[in-house]
Amino acid sequence: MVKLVIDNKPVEVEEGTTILEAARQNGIDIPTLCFLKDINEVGDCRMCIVEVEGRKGFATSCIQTVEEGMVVKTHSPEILEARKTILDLILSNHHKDCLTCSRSGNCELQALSIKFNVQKVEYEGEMSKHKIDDKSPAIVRDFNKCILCRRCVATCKNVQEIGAIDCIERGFSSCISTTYDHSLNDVDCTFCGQCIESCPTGALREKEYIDEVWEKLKDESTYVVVQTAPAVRVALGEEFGYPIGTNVKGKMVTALKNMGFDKVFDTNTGADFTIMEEANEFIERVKNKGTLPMITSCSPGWVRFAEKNYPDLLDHLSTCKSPHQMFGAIIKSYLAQKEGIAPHKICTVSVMPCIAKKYEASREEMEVDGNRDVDYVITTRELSRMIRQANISFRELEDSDFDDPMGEATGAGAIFGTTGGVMEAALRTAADTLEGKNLEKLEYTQVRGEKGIKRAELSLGGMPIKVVVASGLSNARKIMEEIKNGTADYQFVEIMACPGGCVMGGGQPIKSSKIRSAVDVRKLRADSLYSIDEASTIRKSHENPAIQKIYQEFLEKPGSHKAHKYLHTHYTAKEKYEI
Amino acid sequence: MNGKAEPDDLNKLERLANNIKKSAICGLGQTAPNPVLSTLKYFREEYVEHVSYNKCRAGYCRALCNLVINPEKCRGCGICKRNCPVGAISGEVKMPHEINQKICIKCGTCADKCPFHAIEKQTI
Ligand code: SF4
Ligand code: SF4
Ligand code: SF4
Ligand code: SF4
Ligand code: SF4
Ligand code: FES
Repeated sequence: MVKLVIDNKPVEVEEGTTILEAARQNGIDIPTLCFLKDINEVGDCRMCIVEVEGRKGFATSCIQTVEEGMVVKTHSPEILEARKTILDLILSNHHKDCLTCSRSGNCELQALSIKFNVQKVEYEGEMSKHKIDDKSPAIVRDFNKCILCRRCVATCKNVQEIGAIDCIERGFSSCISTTYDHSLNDVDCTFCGQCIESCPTGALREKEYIDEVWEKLKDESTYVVVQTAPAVRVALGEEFGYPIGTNVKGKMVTALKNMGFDKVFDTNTGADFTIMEEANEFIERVKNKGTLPMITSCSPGWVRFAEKNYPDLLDHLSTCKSPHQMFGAIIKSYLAQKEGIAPHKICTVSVMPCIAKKYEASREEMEVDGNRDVDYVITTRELSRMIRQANISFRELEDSDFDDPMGEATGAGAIFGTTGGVMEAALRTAADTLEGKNLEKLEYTQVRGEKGIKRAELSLGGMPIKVVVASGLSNARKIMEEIKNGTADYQFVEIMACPGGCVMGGGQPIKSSKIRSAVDVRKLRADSLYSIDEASTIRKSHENPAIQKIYQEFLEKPGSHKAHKYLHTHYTAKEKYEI
Repeated sequence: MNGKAEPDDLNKLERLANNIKKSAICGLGQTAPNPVLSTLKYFREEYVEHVSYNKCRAGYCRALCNLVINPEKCRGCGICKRNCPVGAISGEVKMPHEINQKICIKCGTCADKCPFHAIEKQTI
């Protein structure tokens, strides 16, 4: 333990603690900007400087560790003046467009300006001008709002181990960019969106499709169907002041109905289809000595990663579309038939925790008979903006249920939103199918939890199998390398691009660096999904009566010709750099 | 200098330089403001002349100087007149030309073009 004094308060902290952590542990806050715990600890913005007695110049509290007997002042007048100057300098080269900025209200730079009582622009002069990169269907980069904190760079490089972006040029021309300054669309970016989640400002955002969706809602002749992913309901509430992980399913459904969607469906039902198909595909592969291990394919960020980095191993990917694409295809075929509406009159909107799904929906394979499976993908954040636009008092809403005939989903579908969930849901169905009976066993706790890679050995129908669950692309790469060099002895692999799975997807409400340091956002959201599962009456996909009915009336059986037409896809090797 | 500074801006400059010196992470940043700080210390009256009297002793700050044609050197070729973007220069061929200070925007084009270096900066 190390003893020191912070703001006249004697404190004791563990050796190796930074001054910032030591202060925060003792209820003293120090403002930060570039700091992102465990991810970006580089000390480049200077916002967190403090005075250390007997030392020339200020100390950088986010990277400097405590020393015995240190006397630290965190808010002397000199420090406050220096921090304000630093902020003034950052603002002097920032396009201050708060009124039209997607991050207004949840922007760390804006929050600091309020905190520091910035009432005028101190330094006016030349400003750098960058072009906006909005070529991709998923992500928009506006570096006129970038403060060069490098949180995105560290996330892409150290967490995801992609390294699609880095800082180029020097001094005034410094800028975050890509290989040869190409659009993110054309380089090795996977559209995981983790950089957006890390950015303190409005420099990175999803490509919005809000106006397009309102247009469709206005158009009387279009039947607009919306579906919401499992991870959305446990995060949307955060945008309306609920604690992290609160399940606001009922209010969310009411809001969507009030906004004028003709049908509100649950992507969890789509997930139940995915499980039916995926479990069946897995059993077929095992029985017929197909390519193993089979790898899940419901995370489009992961799929793009695989296509760009492991073009020779694409056979391993399950041919299943992701749940919302499957569901979109079912809506435009089965539901269209049932309701007597021409498929081209239906517009399908998916509310997703993900920005890669925007890209997925735009892939040319994702249509059947000329009908796009999903017309628009909006993120959890975009939905919250639409709810505000519609002037709906979210907190006052009554609860309501998803629409029939596909409203009812299982607990297996719910846990799709977290790492390990797809595996667990698939195992529930595969085990029952292989054993030929209804097993008691439901929970596969070995594949739960925060670890980036989780391995388990199980017995399914008397057959020993090895499975592995990886989340985050750096972990995905580790597993793929094992498969490539032949050391992998798994039969079934689940991969999600986002660390922690979709609950931490690139379209989820953005949490500030301070919140991310203090609480485990992933756990709170994931736990909420597991409680939805626990509270569900049906917890296995194949027991879902709605699913059984649609197979009876329409799809025949998992893996049938029809199921393949609507619910499966294929992958193609892609160039890493399309330039 | 563009001639728009206020006397208080000198304090602002000094504060800025001191703050950068104390809060920069590396030696380069910590020493970058030194030229400003030492000239402020040793040549403060020149700074004051600039901001209070719009005067540049060294004749360096264009905004604080007039561009004038030295009649001794001018040969009346008319090149400056043709190149002046605001038509501030007048004069007959082979006679010394003149710059109308009310129109001149101090762009310096004439001085760059004059083949005889007849256009000079003059402190105000
Ligand atoms: S990034 Fe933040 S400070 Fe900048 S315009 Fe947007 S909301 Fe305002
Ligand atoms: S979306 Fe993902 S892969 Fe692309 S730049 Fe951001 S973090 Fe990197
Ligand atoms: S884009 Fe955002 S995260 Fe990246 S350096 Fe700029 S401000 Fe920081
Ligand atoms: S893990 Fe989920 S949120 Fe992340 S890219 Fe994959 S599908 Fe999207
Ligand atoms: S260019 Fe020089 S020499 Fe010719 S008219 Fe102008 S000042 Fe005189
Ligand atoms: S230098 Fe510490 S937060 Fe940026």
